[in-house]
Amino acid sequence: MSDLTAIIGLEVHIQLATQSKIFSSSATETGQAPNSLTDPVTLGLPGVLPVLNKAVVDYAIKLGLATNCKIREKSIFARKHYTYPDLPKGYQISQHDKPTCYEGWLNIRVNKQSKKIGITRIQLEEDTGKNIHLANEPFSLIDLNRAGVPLLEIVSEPDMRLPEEAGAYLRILHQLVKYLNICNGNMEEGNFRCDANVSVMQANAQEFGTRVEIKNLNSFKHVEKALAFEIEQQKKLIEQGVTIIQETKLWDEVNEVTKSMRSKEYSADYRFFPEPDLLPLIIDENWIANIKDNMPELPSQTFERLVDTYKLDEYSAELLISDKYVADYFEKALTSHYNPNGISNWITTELFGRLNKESMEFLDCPVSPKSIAILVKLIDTGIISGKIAKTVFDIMWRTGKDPQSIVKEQNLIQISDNIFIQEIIDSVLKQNPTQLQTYKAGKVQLFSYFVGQAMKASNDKVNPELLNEMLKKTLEQ
Amino acid sequence: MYITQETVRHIAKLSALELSDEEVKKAQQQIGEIINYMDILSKVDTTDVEPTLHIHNAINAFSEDIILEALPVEKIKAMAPEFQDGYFKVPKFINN
Amino acid sequence: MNDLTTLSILEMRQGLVASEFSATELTHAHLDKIKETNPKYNSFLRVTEELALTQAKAADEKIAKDKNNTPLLTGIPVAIKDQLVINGIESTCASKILKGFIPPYTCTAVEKLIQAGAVILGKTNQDEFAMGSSGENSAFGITRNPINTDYVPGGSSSGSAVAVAAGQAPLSLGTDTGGSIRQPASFTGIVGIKPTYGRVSRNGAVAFASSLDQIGLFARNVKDIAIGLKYIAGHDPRDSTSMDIEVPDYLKNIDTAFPKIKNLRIGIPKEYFTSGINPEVEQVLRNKIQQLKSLGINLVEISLQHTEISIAAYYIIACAEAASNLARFDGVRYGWRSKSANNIQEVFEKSRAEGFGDEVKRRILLGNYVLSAGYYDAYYKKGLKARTLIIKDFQEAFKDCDIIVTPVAPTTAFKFGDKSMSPLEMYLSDAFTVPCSLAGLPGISIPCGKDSKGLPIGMQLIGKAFSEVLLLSTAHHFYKN
Repeated sequence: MSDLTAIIGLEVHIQLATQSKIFSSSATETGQAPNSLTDPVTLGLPGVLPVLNKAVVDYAIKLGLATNCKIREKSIFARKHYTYPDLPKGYQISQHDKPTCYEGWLNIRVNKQSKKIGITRIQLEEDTGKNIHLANEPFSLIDLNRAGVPLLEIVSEPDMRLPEEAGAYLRILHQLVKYLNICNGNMEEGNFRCDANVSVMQANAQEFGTRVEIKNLNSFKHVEKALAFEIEQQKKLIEQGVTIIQETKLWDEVNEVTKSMRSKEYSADYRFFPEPDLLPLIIDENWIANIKDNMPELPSQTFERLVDTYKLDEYSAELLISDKYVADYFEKALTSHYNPNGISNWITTELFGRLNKESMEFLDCPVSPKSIAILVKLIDTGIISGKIAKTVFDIMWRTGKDPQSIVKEQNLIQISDNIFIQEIIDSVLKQNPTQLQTYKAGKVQLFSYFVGQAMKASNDKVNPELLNEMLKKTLEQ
Repeated sequence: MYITQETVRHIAKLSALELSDEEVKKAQQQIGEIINYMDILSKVDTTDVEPTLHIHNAINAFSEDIILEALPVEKIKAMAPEFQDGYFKVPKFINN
Repeated sequence: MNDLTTLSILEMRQGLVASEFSATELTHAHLDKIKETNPKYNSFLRVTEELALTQAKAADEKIAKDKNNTPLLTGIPVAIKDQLVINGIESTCASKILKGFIPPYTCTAVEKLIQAGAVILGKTNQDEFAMGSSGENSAFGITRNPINTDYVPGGSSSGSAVAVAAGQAPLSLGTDTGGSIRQPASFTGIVGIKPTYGRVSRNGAVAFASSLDQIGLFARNVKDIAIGLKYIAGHDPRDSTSMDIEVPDYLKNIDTAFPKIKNLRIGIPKEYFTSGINPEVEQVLRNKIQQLKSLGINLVEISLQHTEISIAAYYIIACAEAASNLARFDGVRYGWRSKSANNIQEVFEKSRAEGFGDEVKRRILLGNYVLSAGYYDAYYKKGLKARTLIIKDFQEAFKDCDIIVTPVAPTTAFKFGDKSMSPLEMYLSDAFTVPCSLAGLPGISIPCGKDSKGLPIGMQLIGKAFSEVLLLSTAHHFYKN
């Protein structure tokens, strides 16, 4: 039935890239030995008290401003109670009715349409530890290194209608937190986590349908797939007259289905109350102004600058701002050789292509911005051909050497010597008399055959434009 | 306010406390009596009264974003009822 | 040699710097006293003899080297309530759930005493997790009142009070949430102070009710309290609620602060003398107040009109916070784990059922009840609003007076078992100490007489927030006369 509409809202948790935890001074690193990054506060030992890490507030204000949120003058922390082995104190320190940022929005673009997605709130809270369930063992293991790592919970309004909109929102948000340099953004490591709420209703209904929460979504693709699956399923059930029950589901990424979680034995009554150990957090205008003054450029601003200053087309600019590192890389390259379009093309085609092929992150790219710039310069000044440049790029990638040395060592300098080129042309034509005859009889397509033979004879080193020009002249004679 | 045994059991669950039937009965009586007494509060009009969350008007206590020494794992192990390979060890959930 | 265990801290100090006795001898005298009397009182759960003698030896060396530049507490023995953790020393809060627990860090207030050269004698008995008013709620046996061992010493800081009353220590640390220092001080005939909330760091004091808990002191005279408070007070970056306000020299001001204010106004709240107070207690207190007029004070009748609802407000707030604070004792990371738990739910529920005593369980249940969905507004939120009204009462009252004087408890010490049958009755006996706690004000209990059975009666003096200088000076002058 086409008159059913899905309503999607997202809850994103980002781990902040601070040095220490939100309420104590142990490190926030990942990949360390279990329980090696803990202290009495992290372990929830008797008698300890939390003290708020100021950097966490700075980061929250940054994100709040970047998402057009209001920054609350007085926020209060609250305790959220539930019993779980990875929750050391038996409560999570979070915010409840007074979150630090609220009523913001982000613009997304889907199918060339722009849409505003509301942000209900951004709240500060602490992460839990990790429960490791071992298959076929009657016990679980608990690592509290993650406990107390600062989180921002970003709750959207239920403004999305399509899985692609959810995907676009997440990509924009992800891009933003990376630009702000407040989160490492690695979804697989859990730096950037997403839960989705989805319901389906008649398009003209006044009230939303019963919502289902989907957890365990650790990539943008999975969010979209899980939502698409769940929406289809809810639509089918509604068409069959089945009532949707409010529940939490897990995304099974192997079978690509959403599955009901077994209902928890504990009823969720979190017994929130204001945290007596933490003082009210007051954020005044000076503090906000100070953060504003030190805000990095946001992706939308970078986009405009790339289009205005460097006259890039919107598509290329969009690709370059997809990741803050790419935009930085691009601008850094320009300082070595000013050819915005040429460098943009090399980044978005060759560099991206290679990174994809090798499944690498942009940060790990072995080619420096300067090297790419020099490579483009070598092409622009006619020293090497575009084709040779690809060979040089491959060597740069593998060895990390700079393009000039490679060109020199491998003797790849383009030949623009007329006499030498004429000699090659003459010898190619001489060696291919049949083809020459056919050409002269009118089969002009053979022109490229001669070009190929000539390039081959010169080990691809002759200047292709010059070769074309001279070959044409020779054949016309 | 009369408190049912069901309420006591629910609260015991929230409190993660196992109570025997005997204890449930006792708690029902004692907590009922105390809660009943608490209703003395309804005597006062608190319509326009702000709740007190903090006694003093202090605000904004922070720590700097620095890393201090972690607790050595041997000390954690010494406190733990069960510890294995650097992890706290607990039996699994009943459902699993 | 005289009995060193009856001296005041200033007398001990004199003896130490005059080399009349050493810190080691002083410590031995107290350790001997503990050995002799502890079987009777059960006031110490743990005696840290080895540590004490090491600290005493270090104190002797410091005094020998440069006696005039040592802190006043150098070589002075102190006892510490088990609620306060000390690195490497078993700390149980008198609960089975923490039996054998050895914390890896030290409570700030204790650390400050150690830094000042004090000698730690051991950890004292108490009501489990500071919940109780009689000393009967310890998992490790009741504490007895040295005045008469058939009677309770009060609680929850029972052992710390008894240690000082019985000459086992000249100074001890306790915690006071709703009267846990003032009431046992009154029952054992000594001085006990609960400083202003935020005056002393709570770091390392196992939390019972975070918005009410405060570490305080017991001593046999007010000057000794003044000495001790100076060392433990002050801002601590590890406790956000500890206030960054200068710590005055309480001892230096003790003789002068009170007389400086001509015609100091003493407020007598009429609500504290209406119902529930034992007539003998009332009479002794009234006589004492009249007698104090000779010191040139003005008596003002004041009204703290919401006194009647303080017990309800207090137990709602304290139990809610306690239920939350005690959620961490789950048998996972430290403390007692049930031997019969077969899954994680049972680890939680059985460990806590086996580890906590009845009173603690009752308060956890009460606390979770008042916080749970459907009851939050009617009880918890209402309690917070009632707290506001009680605070306003004090603000109003302090417009008309400088210090408020009240009884500490409606009765003198009671016999064991007398009140343990009804929890509510026990709660009601805190009626005179909890309003001061809810308002976060400093309160001190000083002895002011005895009843016909020879049991001590205490007088409570309540001051404005952070007015400990005047409060101590006034208490000193009142106690002296």
